[in-house]
Amino acid sequence: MKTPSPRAHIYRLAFILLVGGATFVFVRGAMVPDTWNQKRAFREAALPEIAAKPMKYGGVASCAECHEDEDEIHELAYEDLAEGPHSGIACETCHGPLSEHVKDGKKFADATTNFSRLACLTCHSNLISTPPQFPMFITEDDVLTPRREAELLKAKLDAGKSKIFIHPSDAHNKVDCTECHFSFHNPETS
Amino acid sequence: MDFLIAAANTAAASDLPNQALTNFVYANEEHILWSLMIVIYPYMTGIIAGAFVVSSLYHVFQLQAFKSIARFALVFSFCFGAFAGLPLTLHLTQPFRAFNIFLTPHFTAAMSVFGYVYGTYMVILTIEIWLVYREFFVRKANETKHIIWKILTLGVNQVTPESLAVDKKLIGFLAGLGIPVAFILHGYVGFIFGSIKAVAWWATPLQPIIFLASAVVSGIAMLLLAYTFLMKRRPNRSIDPKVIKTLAVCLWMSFFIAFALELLEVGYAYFEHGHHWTLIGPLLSGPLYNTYVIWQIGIFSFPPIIILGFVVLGKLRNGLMIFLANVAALLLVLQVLFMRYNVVIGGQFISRSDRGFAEFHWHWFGREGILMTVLVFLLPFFLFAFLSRYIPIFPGDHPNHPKASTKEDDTPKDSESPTTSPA
Amino acid sequence: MNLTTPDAPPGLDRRDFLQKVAAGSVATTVLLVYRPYTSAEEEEESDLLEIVKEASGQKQKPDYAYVIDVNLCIGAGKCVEACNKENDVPAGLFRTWVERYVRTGDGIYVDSPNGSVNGFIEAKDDLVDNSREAWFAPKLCNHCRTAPCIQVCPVGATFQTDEGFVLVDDKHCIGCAACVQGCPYGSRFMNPDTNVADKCTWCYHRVTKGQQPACVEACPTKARLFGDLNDPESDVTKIFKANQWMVLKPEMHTDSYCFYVGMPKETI
Repeated sequence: MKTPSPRAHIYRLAFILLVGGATFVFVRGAMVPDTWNQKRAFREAALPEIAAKPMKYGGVASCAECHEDEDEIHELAYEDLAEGPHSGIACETCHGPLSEHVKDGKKFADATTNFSRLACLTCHSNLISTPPQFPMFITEDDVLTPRREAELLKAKLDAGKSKIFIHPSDAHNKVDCTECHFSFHNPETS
Repeated sequence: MDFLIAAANTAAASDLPNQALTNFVYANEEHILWSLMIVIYPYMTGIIAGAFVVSSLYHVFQLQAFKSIARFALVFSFCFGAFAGLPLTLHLTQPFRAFNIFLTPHFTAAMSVFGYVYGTYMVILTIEIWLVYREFFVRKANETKHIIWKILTLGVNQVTPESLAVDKKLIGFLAGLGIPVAFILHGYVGFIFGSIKAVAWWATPLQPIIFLASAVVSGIAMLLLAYTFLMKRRPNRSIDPKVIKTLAVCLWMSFFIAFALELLEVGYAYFEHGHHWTLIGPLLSGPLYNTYVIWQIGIFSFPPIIILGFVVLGKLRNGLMIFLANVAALLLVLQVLFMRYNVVIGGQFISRSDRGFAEFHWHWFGREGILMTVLVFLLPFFLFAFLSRYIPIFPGDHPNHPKASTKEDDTPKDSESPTTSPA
Repeated sequence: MNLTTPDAPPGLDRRDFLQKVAAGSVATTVLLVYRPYTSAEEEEESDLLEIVKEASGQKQKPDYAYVIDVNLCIGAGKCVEACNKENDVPAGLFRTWVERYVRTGDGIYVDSPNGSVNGFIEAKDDLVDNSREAWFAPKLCNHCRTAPCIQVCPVGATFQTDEGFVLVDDKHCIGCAACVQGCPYGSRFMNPDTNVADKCTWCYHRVTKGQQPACVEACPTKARLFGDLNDPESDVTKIFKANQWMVLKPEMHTDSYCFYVGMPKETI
């Protein structure tokens, strides 16, 4: 048997490394996403994918498509949303997203219409963190702390100007706010 | 350690940063995302780097004391290297996309180079081991005709003194080249942590150096333990006190550097007393008090420094010296493990709200549970046990001939390759 | 690739594109030469700008920004509810959430029960009594112009469009969570349903269809505004010009594009 060159095994190793490296480069090249943007390092096809996600909230215009002239309640509602105390609030903020109400252009479930006290108090309960110019409702029962008592006193003094509305303690815990207050059913009171 | 005590005392007065009245973490910070796998990963790469350094101290710097463990250190490093990618892959929530790190590395992120650095290191390490064992492979191929050995010779079934000289040169070169690559592989982990500005406990340019220094510590300490264990286990081997002593010297020196850097980091934050300290102070006296102040610093750092001082400077009899060196090595192995935990998990304790600390939930099961972590950490040892059945790790080893080996004396020369051994 | 209209076929006709670029550069040069002389003649300059825009064949790309008016936020949590529904955000995780801050003489109290998806109930009595100031702070992804999350992504699975949206590529993300670590605002999370990083997209899928982001749509007090800084009439532009805003964690130098109006400095 002929004695091999002292570097024979190194040459063979180098060959293996070369083949391995070339295979890696080839496989890598084949696997890089088609729309890869090397300069900005992202997959361009991701943009239309993300943009194609379906919307759940349709916006006021989508509600108006069916409801604008449907009945008196909605007429009043649109009026209120345009200029009333709740102007600018989107329908879906309280009624829930379009996707839970309409599918393929057809209604498949009722939108949320059952508004208890809690629905109003989500916004209008008197929290210390709520900005002072925002209308807040409290009952006398709620008035517990010295700070609240001071608020109460101030509100009584500025009656009419204050944004804190104090209610007698008993009666008002039992009925929905909308029984007396502004509602589309009873738009006169506010 | 006055500042640590001061930290503990000041924090007792106010446990939360930024005058927080309650522990507040952001809504999305209920879970600590980098968990045990990310603790174990730098621990493993640290052992890789440390063990490789020991091997290169012989192959490059001709430190003769490590001649008998140079091959052992190399194989040990390889075993950990073979599984270093595993904890990372297990950590990914999309493990099957792990290859993306090769496809589209995003170089503004330090992490993106992982695939290439790790790949380069493993290629270097594998070639070096192959060259070290080539003579053995050739002999096996000629003796047994087994296909595996034949493949490992790449069909060159003769070893000549000239070819061994070529190998030796190349081994020296690869051992030298491997040091910076191993350091990059491990140091970059520290760099990833150090460059995350959102986490005050991580964001320091010292981080890569701290990781490197502690890597060398953990690698040497783990080697020392493994060496003692393997030598005790087999009757035909005996512990070479010179090896232990030299390892202890290296361990002592590297730990001085590692510990000094670790204290420097915290000490600097304390004396700077800036934004970082507002968060690190309550962290060290709060959620990290036990694992950092008590364990990492108090129990696992000061005692080994003193013990190693006796081992290195004292004139102890060999038995006691070896025993104490192993005690110190065990403490230091745990020191580095706790350090990895304290950095990785500790940094994530700090909520980005700057007003509270998140909680770490320990799990036994699951991809990142305790059991999986232990298993991942044991795999390199299993691989080592497997490899040592087929290849000689220490001089005098006779794999596949355990009975024959008991009759052999434990001369330092490799009796299986009586000609010029590269090791 | 035109980032404004993702539905358009990728890549313009090359010749067409080159012509437009050429025309654009000529016009730009003209503008640059003229600029020193037109400082007194602003009308002429704006005409020239129009010419440049027409010549380069593209309208100015929108430059979106988000404005939160802390003085208007009532903590109703409608935005969180809308976001969770619009984007199928898993329970317990949030693309947007609202925090309540109460400053007392003893320190700062902060909470955000369940991300405030159901709004807030009043804080404890002692907090109410000791309160010196209290406010709500809505949070979301800041869509930073130098976003740390984009920088630390190892595979380029998160990126910023020309209009300012910072987005996640669900099909490319490997789930290493580095972006979650990199974000100083806690805006990112790992989505257990999709197993990739998730975050606010400023409702890219809505804005590209001409709608407002769901949170902006749902906010009953207009505390949240979203608009184009290149449109001189948009609300965000006016607030931006007034320079009364601040951003979260300015020391992080992320060039955040969520601007807060009236935010007390204790907000982190």
